[in-house]
Amino acid sequence: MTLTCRGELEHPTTRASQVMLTLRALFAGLVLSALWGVAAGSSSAALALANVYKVPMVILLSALTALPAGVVALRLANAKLAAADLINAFATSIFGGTLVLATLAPLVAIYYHTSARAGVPLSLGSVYVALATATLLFARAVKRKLAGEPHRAASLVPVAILVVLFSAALMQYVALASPIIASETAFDGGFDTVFAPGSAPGGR
Amino acid sequence: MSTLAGHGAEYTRTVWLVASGLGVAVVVALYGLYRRARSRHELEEAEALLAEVYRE
Repeated sequence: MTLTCRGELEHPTTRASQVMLTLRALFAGLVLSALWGVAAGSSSAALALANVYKVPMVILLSALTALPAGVVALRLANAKLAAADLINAFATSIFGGTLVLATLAPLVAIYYHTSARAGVPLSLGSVYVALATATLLFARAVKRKLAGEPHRAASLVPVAILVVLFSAALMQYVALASPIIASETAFDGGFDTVFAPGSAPGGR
Repeated sequence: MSTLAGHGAEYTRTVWLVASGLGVAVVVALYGLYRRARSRHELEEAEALLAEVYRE
């Protein structure tokens, strides 16, 4: 949490403790996303239970799909940031994003059961807010890791690539794992329906 | 389970099962990595503590 919010820890970390922190952030993020999954699928017990597995898996697979390209971009951009630092920042930003998802989970659940108009937009909105938060946290963490270094802009290239690829992969994994939300949304068909002519993301 | 890219629901389900199977394998591998990092971290802490004791 300290690493996510302040960007750096008070004491310098060793390689082993950095790996531990990265994996703890990732595992905690997966658990938090499962909470959101339960809330989003709370219309039926089977869907809620399936989401405990589906939502963390969608996030993990999206991260794994995007990560190699981010690391290659880091090398090609000749950035000063170490690959381990990029992965650490990515994992902590996933934790931050899923923390937002878990925070909004009770609101998503109550609206899902009590409002026909706001339930689905709110659950999709919570995902957009979480994505935006994670992106900002990721950029901030990378910026802090490079404080005082020249040519910092080169390190923002892999950040942008990671965010774009993560979002692109997320869209397709959501389609593969659907239904995550009981109501049908444009995301159930992946890229083809989200970017179909005349379609509005979020509803069909 | 929706149909994607013109493939049937069965195909989509198989792709999801393969992908999530890989995900589970990665989680297991990452847990192994975590345990290794934790034992190494504990060793580093013990070494640092011993070094401090010997300095005194």
